[in-house]
Amino acid sequence: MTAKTPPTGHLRRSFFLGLACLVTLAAGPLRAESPTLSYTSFGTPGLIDMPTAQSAPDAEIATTLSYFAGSTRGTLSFQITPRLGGSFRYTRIEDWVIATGEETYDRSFDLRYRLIDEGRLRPAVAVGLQDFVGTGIYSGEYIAATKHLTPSLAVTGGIGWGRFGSFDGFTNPLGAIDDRFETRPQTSGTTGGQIESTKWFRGDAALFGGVSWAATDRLTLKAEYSSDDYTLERTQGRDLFERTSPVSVGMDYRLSDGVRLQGYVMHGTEVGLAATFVTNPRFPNVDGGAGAAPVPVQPRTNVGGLTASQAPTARQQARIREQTATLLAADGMTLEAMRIDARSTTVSLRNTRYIARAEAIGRTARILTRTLPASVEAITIVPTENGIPLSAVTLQRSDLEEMEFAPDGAWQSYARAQITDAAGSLDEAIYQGELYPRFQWSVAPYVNASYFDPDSPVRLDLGVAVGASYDFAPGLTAAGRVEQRVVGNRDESTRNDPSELPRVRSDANIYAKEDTALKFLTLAHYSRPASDIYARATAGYLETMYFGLSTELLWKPVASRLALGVEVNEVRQRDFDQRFGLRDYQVTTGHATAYYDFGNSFYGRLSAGRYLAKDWGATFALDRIFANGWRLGAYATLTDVPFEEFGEGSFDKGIQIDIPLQHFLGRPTGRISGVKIQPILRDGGAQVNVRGRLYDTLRSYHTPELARSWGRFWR
Amino acid sequence: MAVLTIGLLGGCSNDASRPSQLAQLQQVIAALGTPEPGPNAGQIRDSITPEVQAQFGGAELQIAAIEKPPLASVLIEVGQNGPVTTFTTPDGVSFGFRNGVLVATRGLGNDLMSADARQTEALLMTQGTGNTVRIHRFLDGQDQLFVRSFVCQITRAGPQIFRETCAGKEIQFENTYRFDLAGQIVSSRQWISPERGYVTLEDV
Repeated sequence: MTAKTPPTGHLRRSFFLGLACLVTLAAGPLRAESPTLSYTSFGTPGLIDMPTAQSAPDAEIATTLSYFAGSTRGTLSFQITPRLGGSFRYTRIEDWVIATGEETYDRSFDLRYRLIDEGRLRPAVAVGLQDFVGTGIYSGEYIAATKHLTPSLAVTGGIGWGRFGSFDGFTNPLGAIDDRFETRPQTSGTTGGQIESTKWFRGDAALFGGVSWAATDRLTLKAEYSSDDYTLERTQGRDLFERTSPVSVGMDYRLSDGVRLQGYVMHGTEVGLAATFVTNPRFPNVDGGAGAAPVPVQPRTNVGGLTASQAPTARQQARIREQTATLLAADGMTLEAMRIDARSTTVSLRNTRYIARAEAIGRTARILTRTLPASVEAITIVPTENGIPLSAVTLQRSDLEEMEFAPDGAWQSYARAQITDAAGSLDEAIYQGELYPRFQWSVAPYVNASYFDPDSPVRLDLGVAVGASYDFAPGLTAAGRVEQRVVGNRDESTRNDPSELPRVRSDANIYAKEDTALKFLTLAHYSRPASDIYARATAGYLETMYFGLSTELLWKPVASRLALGVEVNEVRQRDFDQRFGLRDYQVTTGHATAYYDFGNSFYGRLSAGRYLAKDWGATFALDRIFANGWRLGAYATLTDVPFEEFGEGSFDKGIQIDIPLQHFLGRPTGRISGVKIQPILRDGGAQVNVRGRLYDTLRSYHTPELARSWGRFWR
Repeated sequence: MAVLTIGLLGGCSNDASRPSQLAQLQQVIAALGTPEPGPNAGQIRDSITPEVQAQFGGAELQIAAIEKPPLASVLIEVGQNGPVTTFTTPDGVSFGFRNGVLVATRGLGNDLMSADARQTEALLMTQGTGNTVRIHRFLDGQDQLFVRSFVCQITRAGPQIFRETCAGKEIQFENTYRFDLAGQIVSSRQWISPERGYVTLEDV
């Protein structure tokens, strides 16, 4: 404190939690959770090994690491809808290969669905499929019923098949419907990854059950009667443990809202341990965010100015633009261009801070009430990205003055806003001089990780990346990035998985050998050729493995749930040395894609065309995208490559998770960390990775998605 | 084998709109350490001499103290829109008042997005007592507004002091207002939101 600055105090504090990596997904308050709910050693909601009929709270993400008798499991579970849950699991089992004593690594996917909600007398009932696309080590199906006797005591009983029917099994009661239910067929094929629906609910069945008791707020005790005989693990030659009892007991201790520790005594004498890290995209650290207050609306008092019929002079306009740019910059945004007429104005905006797009528009509108002449009534705000206008939101200034503190001001302002296509809206706008041309650079640390290599399931590189970009004009940008590895072991991979296809992706580990790598170097052009139409052309070193030209055209009316796109890429494979050289493999790929916003935060994508290995097929993707920036999605690609030829996994599939940093920080930041998990990277169904594909850049500025964040218009 | 890439946050850059990772890291470290306690309301009041008031251009000032976390700051009047006056702290938290009644906060997190307290305002303006209804709006974690309504009873708690006791679903709060002889609210303790609790306000 100096004499000149009185202690004015502060009401804000940086809100903080962790850094975003897979394990520290664990943070954030959790609400309305049943105290008896905990996770199994398989990372699914349930008891110890056995499931219950309980669902996790909607949207909960749980990462569980567990160890038991030579089996180490890492499971990522997501409550996809209030009733539907899914899991992806990666398991290491010691001493699996009987001849050599080698371990095995196994990937598995689960789905479970709560059919019936718990009532006063009626139990909740759920059906589940464990390991339904995998090699089948963990495959099993169940129907479970759970009833709370008191709010802290839940009893579960169920019937299981497959793995869940392996102890004390009896002839499948479904045999009454059809004799075929009585025998469980062997796994078909050798590559795994196929949906084994012919096995579901087949073969012997067995009963299981258990109790879960929330002894205190933090401690939950569990006991179960397990119908899993661990036959495979106890096969002669593996002998991973001795099973002396079907009864297991365990405890779950809630270290904090996001971290739970578990200990078990399983099947008689074995000790198991697990830790579960929980977060929920629905519950960020600070609801509504702790970003600084907006500039308040300044209502017009200069009644004389209201009748002005002439636009401000060029000099006045320059001053208005400067003031607007300064105030926008203070709010973390950039003024791109502005056009000021006597009664209306059009302002185009770059927003890298507010994931709630409506907040960016609302803040800009309030700033304009302070900088525009009183005669200007219609304010059109045009968010841009990559230099092209994405939508035009027109607001009446008198509405802003009226609704700033109206109890229902957010909804009223949405009802009165006009949201239209923005093509051509900036034709006569004056661009901010310092933006074009503009050179930008950055130096930043990076982490690259490779997962699921059986020789070393996790490989990491840490290094420094230098990025640069040069904006020639709106929509025309050159950009590049060089990475320099400092430490890491991704170069140590010596895997050479045979492939019957052109090696379009399976040489990823060879590309990872270079310490210095040109990651991309491109010239990109974005444009709006017509209303509702967006175009992109990107040329150069597109990504680690491909050089070439990528072109894209997208049709997306501003209020349409449906978008249609076509993309054509003419690419050639890059040299392993990650410099400028090229290899011989050349291919034309292309896709026609339909995007659909189902509402309720679900988005679908269906894309059909030709892939990098010259295979033809289609990709299906379903994402749940939250208004606050989280995305959890899964995709699968089926092509004309037969499963046997594709190799392990049978077809390409994966999971995409986008984590907005503001969830943990509290204050707004546009930064989103993307994690893409591809359990098996093979050559079939592979696409070129081009930066800046159109749909995801404009989606959030279009309705209906823009409406989802409108509650933050006045934030 | 498969690849998983974690995009790290940017480092240094010449783009001012993207805070550098180092700056963000510094904030992490600062936040993890014990933050220096700010001055309390009394210290702020003592320091607002006429000279200091002049530094703020003679704008109307208040002192605000919140309880969760316990922090205090001076408030400066920055806007007037119809009957609503907006005050802000130097670090970017704002409070909107209509007839002395808190109707909005911004920048605290878990903010009061809007409050329809017109019945309360009307009673307080005449220093009357009776029952009122309030409707408050808040943002949830998915940026959706939700409404909480309250039934309130305004009673006289002292010569110039009125107490407003409000009850809604699972939430109760009690505001107090102190008037000067001219009938203006000079100090008050008003509820913001479940997470933020109350703010205590007094004129300078």
